[in-house]
Amino acid sequence: MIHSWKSVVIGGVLPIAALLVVMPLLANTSATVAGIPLLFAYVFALFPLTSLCLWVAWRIDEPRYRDREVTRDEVVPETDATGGVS
Amino acid sequence: MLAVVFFSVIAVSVLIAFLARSGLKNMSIGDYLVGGRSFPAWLLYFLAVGEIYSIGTMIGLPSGLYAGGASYGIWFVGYILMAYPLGYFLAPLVWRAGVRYDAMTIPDVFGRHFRSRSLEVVTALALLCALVPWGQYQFIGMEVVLGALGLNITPLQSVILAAGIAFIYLVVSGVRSPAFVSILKDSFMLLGIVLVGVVAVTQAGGTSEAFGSGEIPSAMTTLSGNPLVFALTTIVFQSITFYLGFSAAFLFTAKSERAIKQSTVWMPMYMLMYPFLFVASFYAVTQFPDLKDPNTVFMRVTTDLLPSWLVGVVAAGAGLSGILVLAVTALSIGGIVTRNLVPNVRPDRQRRISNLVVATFLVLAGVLTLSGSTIMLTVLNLTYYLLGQLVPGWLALLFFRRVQAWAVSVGIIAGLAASLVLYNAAPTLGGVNAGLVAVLINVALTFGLSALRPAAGTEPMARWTPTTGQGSVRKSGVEPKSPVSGATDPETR
Repeated sequence: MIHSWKSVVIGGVLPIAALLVVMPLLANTSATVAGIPLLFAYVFALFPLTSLCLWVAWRIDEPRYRDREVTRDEVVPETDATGGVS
Repeated sequence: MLAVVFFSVIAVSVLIAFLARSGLKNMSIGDYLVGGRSFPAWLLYFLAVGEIYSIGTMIGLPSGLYAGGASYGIWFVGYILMAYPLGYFLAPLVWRAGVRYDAMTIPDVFGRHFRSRSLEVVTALALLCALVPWGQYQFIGMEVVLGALGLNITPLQSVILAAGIAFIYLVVSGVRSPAFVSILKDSFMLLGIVLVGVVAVTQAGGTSEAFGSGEIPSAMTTLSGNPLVFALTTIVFQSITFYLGFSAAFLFTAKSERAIKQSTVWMPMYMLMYPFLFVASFYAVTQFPDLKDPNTVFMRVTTDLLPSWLVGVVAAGAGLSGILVLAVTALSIGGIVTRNLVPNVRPDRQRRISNLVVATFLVLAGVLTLSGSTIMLTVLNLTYYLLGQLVPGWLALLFFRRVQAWAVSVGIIAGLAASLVLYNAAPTLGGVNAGLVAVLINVALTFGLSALRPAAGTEPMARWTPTTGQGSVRKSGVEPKSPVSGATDPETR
């Protein structure tokens, strides 16, 4: 399933760690950034940064999809013991 | 004026629902439930954000922030944010499961993957349980919005109105209506939120003043101890449930994995509206510290800051978001009942029965709403407690081979029971989200029981390779020797 560890680290590990590991470290302070409490300012900044991480991951993954894209119409569904596909 | 603007926008949305049908003379059940699995990235994006940023965004988040402080605000935006990096990697696998089993509902996938009719029924019932509070969540929001129009609309009338319009959307064009209407809803919702936020900052005299510099308790802007634990565990639990419990149905409408990944990349940008909602909520904390019903915070700020016709625009955005989600939810429920609970119905009758079930659900959720009101985000937590019980089953079918169908069923039933007990008893659990505790019980049963008596096993999705065309079914798990199909779609490029 995982074709590129680089894309997993940049698109998955990095944004998740930024939220779950770094955010708690900034959670209990009265500091502000441009009048916005630091905790909120940091989480707001993560919105575009997460998109950026996903965009970089997509740049890494995209060539693979360009060559091997499968759409729904091309896939043959499996039938099964419960009576098949209705 | 306010009501005229509101109802004009709603009328336009119904018109769009009719237009969404153009080109489709006879809608099959597949068109109705999953849009013929033909949605390109852009339409999938709008259907997804239409469902994700429901009325809870405009009405629920400000109410949570107002009543529960920073903890509620942070878990609300945090779980949506974390869902995207997870979804980028997991959602394509969910889509694959959909095409592998030609599924239109989650119980289709569970029943066929584990080859168990009883698991299909258990999954279907679990979903029905979970979607009722979700419907109720939308109705509470609608009551608040319609209550702010100044028309003396009773709660009963607001429920009937919302349910009626949602029903019209579905009867006309199935899942296509919410997808196209969500473009209109997003425009109004974004416009409304940004306007209210900007005016609130201007009125307060700057961002520092808008966030109540020094005047409000520090628990409103900082996190520590149990509230921090609650925020973090809720973020983890709800973000995983988000794609595995909630979004599977709209993922099935996508035309390809590529469309899903591509649409996920830009989803977090949509969240840039949240700072404006935070500002509006803090404006309420300083200006109206004694509101009786916290759910009315956002509409109270809106009516205080904007002229009447603009309040109509904002209310229309909020109203559409609630009706849209009601429509999509009712549609999932209709699909689940006709395909999984009462199967073997002739295809031409499936749509009719689906419509009947949709109507029943709308009435049921409406009645529950009228029987009592609570803070919206608490109802959202309950929805996730229940939906989260599908996560262990999903993890098993995505990544593990030898999991028993009956163990998944036992896990789901125990998880649902634990969720309801914990929701009603409300123990503190050191701040840990009760849904997470229920899911851990579910995981222990699903995988523990399967370890005692491993199943023969089916290839998990992560190891399965789609088989393409040419009439023969390639054996699961065998990597294709050559790239599968050179076909790429210019639309999704």
